Amino acid sequence: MRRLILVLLALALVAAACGNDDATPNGDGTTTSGARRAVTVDLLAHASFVVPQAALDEFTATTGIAVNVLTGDDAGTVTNQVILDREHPQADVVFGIDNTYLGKALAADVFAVDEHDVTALAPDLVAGLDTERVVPVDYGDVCLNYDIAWFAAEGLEPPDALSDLVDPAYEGLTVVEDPSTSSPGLAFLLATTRATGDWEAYWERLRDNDVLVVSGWEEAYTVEFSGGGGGGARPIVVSYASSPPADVIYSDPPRDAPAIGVVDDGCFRQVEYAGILAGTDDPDAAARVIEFLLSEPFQTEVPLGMFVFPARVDTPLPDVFERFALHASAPVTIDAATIDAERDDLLERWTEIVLS
Amino acid sequence: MTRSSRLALALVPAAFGVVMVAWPLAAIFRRGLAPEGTLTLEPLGAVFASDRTRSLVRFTIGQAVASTLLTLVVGIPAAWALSRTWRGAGLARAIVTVPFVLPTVVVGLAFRHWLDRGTLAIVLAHAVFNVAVVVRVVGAAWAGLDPEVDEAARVLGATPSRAFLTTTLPRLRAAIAGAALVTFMFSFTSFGVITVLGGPRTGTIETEIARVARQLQFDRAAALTLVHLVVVAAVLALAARLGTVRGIDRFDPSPRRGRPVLLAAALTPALVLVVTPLTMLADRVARPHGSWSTAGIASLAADDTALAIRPLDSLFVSLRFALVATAVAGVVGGLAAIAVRDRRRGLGRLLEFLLVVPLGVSAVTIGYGYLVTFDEPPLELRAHWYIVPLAHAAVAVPFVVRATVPALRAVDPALREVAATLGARPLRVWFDVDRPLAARAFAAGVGFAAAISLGEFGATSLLAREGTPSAPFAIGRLLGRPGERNQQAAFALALVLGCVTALVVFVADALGRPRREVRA
Repeated sequence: MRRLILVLLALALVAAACGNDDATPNGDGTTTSGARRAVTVDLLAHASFVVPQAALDEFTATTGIAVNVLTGDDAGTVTNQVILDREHPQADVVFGIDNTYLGKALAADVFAVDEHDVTALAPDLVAGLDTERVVPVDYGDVCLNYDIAWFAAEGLEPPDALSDLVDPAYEGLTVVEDPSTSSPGLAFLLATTRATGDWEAYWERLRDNDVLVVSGWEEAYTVEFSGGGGGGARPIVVSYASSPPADVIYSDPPRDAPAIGVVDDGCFRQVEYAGILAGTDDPDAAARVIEFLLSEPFQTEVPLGMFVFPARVDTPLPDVFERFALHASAPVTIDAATIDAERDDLLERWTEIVLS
Repeated sequence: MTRSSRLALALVPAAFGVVMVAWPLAAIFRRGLAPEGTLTLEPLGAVFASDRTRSLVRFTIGQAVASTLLTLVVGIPAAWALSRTWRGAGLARAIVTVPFVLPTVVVGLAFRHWLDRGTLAIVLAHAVFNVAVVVRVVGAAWAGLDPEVDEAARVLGATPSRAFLTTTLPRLRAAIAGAALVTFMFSFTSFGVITVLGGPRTGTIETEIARVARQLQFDRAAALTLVHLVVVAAVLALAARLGTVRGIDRFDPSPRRGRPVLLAAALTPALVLVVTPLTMLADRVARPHGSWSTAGIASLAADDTALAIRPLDSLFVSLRFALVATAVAGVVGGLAAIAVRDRRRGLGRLLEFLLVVPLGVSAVTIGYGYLVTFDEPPLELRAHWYIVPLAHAAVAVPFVVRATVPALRAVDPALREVAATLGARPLRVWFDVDRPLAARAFAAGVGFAAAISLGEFGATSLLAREGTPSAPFAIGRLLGRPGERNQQAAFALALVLGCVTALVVFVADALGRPRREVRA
């Protein structure tokens, strides 16, 4: 009898696992297409990509093109993926390669050439860019964040410049990400090469001021940062200028004002791009998907979906974004080719200075 | 079973091992060491000769040995306690398996409350994760030991400790060596624990491979993977020497009890180690701001977290993956165990090696290997959801093999001979003699395969996939966004994932319990 119950229990688990087919299409999407849909475009994106189903459905209804989203890990992994799979790309369109990785992808020649209409996008995002290969979709600033309550309780002024971090008064307060394993970590390192007079000397002083280096944003923000909910001890962290609106929207209990402040100095402007992958069997349909990513219905959803700014200039921003997200006044911007040329030496030198 | 029929059985696991392990590894080696078609050995030389590699190897092996020793010290007494029959033993056995599936960031958070980053935190965390391995492998073997041997020793005047050392321990040696091997491999290739609990200067070969592969330096990644393989081969050779004692006992599934005081004493260290992070997790879910709240659990069904779908949906995806992964690992691992039972050299050794490699080799390398291997027909697996459970199975198979082989080897050959003399055909002998005797150990392995899949294996994070993410990935994405509610949902999902795992393991164990008494 007892065995029977166990067997039934096991079967129930099986049923639960399999009965979910309709709610979560996890199988091979191509089998369901064909009859109903004329074309399916595979869109490879990083794990933070969010697109409202309604916007996608609308796009499919008007164009007859179904979009099948393939979710990868972070921007770095997605870049490696398209480079490694260059001969047999898994997707038709890639979204989410940022300016710290774009140089690598361009050098590997993974993109198909096409005319893209970029007239509606912010001119400074397009300037100098090979827009026949990639288009900017969104951007955001990597900046220092601080825990407002911590500084109030300690009676210490929150930092307002990169130079504060090497001040002895701020000793042991900062946590940063390792630039060789983390995207925001690399962005911050790049910012210091332009926003401080001598970046090597700056990092030496930062190291002597007991900066903590961890491997990724999750370890930094949710474990070590005092304002990240994980009970960490350090009140300054390298994160995003859009952390405050996220902090408000996802607060519990609800708050009207963020508990996180952003330092408007030494910010690095991260731009995320989309492009058609060379080898797609339907470049026209792929081009329509790029158009969709730049269209108003998608761009309007960008701020609250991915917590970044839309590349399209006339896009209205949601109130919470308007009020709490920092739009860095003078962010560091470096073009992709320069980053690609500098990256390896920069990482090696940084590792020597900070980790050895 | 005849020699040739066992060889035929070996074909399935061999094919699986070649496709899921050897081929992807070879693809990365080719890309890294022979990018233009001709072998270049400079990167190998450079990596082997560098001081950094030497210090990485030293630290990697050192922390893995320390983790293995601590896990054995804590796990072996617990394995004994859980091999006895008492009310609640099944539940306790299921509970010690739970940490195994918890995302490392979650366990890392728990540890950071009491410990600074560093080697001590790493070793302790490895023990938390791996105590389940020892309890399951050694416990299953212990439950099958014939108590009459001990009793005979005692009757002949041996003290309890002497009886243990001279009769029990030798018979457990193969199981302990197997558990130690698996623990060592898991600690050796550990990635998440090192990144969460290691200091900035703490690196292992695996974290270094991840770092250089991220920069697309596959020459260095391949060279470091070779370093991995050399260590794995050496450890396997050592484990084979330790584990070659022939089973001398019969399996006796009759229940045996232990004195409650002894049981409690044996079990306490393991339970403290395992339950502490679980308590922290449960507390974080139930009292998110220091006061009781249902917000954490409610967030599982909310669709307004950063995940944009209900976190709970990811659990069903995980269960489906686990179901397929467990079935594949059970079939492949079971066949492999039967095939290598009597083969200690030649092809059998090769097959054993091939099937243990995924435990000891870089998940990052295998993951990139999948990307470049399964990218065109007829094996364009990367586009299909079942690449994920297949990858889980590749990691779980060695565990099924390691758990089952000692039990099969412990079956008294005389039993088989008796059955054969009585006219049973080889298949019948296997079905009536080997199968029931090894069922418990096999179930221990299969239950663990489910746990491995539910906890997700690192290589799959390098593959892009469509549809709902599995639970570990959902937890990762939730923790990747600022905001309290995302974190609440992440912790609640981790807790539920742990509970589901305990249930699955409990059911697998119960199904593996022998149906009828088998006596010689």
